[in-house]
Amino acid sequence: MKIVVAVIQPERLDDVKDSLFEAGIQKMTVNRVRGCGQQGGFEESYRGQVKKVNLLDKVRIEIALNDEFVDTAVKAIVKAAKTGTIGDGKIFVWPLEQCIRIRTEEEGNDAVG
Amino acid sequence: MLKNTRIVSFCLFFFTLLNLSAEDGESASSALASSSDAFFILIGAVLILSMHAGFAFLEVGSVRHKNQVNALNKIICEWGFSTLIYFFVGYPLARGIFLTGDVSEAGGVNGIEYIRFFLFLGFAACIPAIISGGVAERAKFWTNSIAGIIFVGLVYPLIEGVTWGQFSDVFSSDTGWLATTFGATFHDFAGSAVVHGTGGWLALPAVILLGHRIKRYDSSSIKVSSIPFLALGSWILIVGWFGFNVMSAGALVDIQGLVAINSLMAMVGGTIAALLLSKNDAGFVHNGALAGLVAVCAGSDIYHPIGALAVGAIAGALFVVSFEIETQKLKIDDVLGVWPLHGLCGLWGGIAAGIFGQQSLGGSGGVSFMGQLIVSVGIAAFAMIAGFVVYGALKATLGIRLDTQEERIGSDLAIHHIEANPEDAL
Repeated sequence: MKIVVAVIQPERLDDVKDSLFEAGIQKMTVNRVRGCGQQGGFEESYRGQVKKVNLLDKVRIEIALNDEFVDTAVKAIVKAAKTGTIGDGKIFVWPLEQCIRIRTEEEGNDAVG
Repeated sequence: MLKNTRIVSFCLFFFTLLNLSAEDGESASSALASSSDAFFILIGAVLILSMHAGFAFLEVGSVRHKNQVNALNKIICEWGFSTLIYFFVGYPLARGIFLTGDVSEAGGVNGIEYIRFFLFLGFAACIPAIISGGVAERAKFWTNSIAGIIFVGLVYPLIEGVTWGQFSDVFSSDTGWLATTFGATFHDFAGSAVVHGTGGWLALPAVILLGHRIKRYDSSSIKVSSIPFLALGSWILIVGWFGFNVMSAGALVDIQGLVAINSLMAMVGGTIAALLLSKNDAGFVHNGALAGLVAVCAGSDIYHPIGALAVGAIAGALFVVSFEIETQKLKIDDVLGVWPLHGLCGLWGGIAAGIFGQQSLGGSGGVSFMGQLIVSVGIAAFAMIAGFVVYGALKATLGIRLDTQEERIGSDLAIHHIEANPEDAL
């Protein structure tokens, strides 16, 4: 069992969702987050006061998967989120120790589904 | 004795007063007339000024969060540019009145000429405010401002001049070509065709030449940021509209309750038609009210209230249907739907005055269908050509669109270097 975490450009989210659905992956948790990578930041100013902002709007997608689906998920995300410019984001794959479906109390691979 | 003296002196004083008022009656009542006209028009001008707050918030709500600041700055800056160009060029061109002369003469009694300028400026400044909603989220600030300046300084004053202003003999004089050919002068009481039609038909080429926003048609990813702000903008416009229409009378003695009730009926007709056709969609319902108001301007002083209701209802339906055709079938990315709302409903309003203004449909008459049709279509055609020429020339020289990266991060950060809610920045 794995957790796939993808940090992507907010405007790619619709495409990434569609791409994942097409690949048969229909479970995910999504957060709006702020972060920085190679893209750098920008300057904001209000009434002449300038502030350096380096954390940019991103969207973070979390998907729990059984091992055989990890590759499919990663490919689907890359396909939809890639524009070839700095700031496209990153994908992290973590091991997942346990998963419990609350409704049925199933555990492990069955609970991930 | 003392008492009697008091009575006599009181009577003398009283008769002196009576005598005074008989002598000065004429000048007193003329002072009252000119000052109440000045006040009447000023209230109209201020109500129209308030409509620009409506334009601003309608756009703030209808664009994505990253373009809210741009919507606000655009509307207030364009009001500024419009005022300057209309004061020095547009108003003298349309009306033949120069306000740059000696302050003791140019303003007239109670400074009414200055107030009249303020009122007509409110109409003229609607032109860039209308276009702003169509070109939102991707237009370059400065080239769009230049286009607005050309429209308020030259294009709109020519249309205003031939319909309401100093060149209006052909269309609006009883002995002019239109009246002698079709039996009635051109009737556009508050500017369905002259103001809204012009703005909407200028905006259409702007939107086409800009092209759609990035990814607009790749998925259903374009969202609006705030229904409450959109609705607030719509309500501010609705309230101000009663100044736009009623105070178009121009003098207190010409105030007409019919204009107010007709505006109300058309607004309600537009709202309910949009409600029924759109299955209670918030964006359509709030713009449907505006569609009714756009359409009722032209004939608001001659319709029967039930006729006004029909004009507004047809406009509300026209807006919903034509917005969907424009943005979905033709893929013209008109963000707020300003061509259907102001262009088509304005054109409809100009023509409708020739239909529902007729006595056979309960109106007070004095209009001809053919006359209304010809001039309204003429205004639309002239505006559309002018829009293509001005935006086409700007596109070929300075460029009219933000670059891809600027559009992606949003016009707020790209142009104004701030987000709508700066505390969100980390």
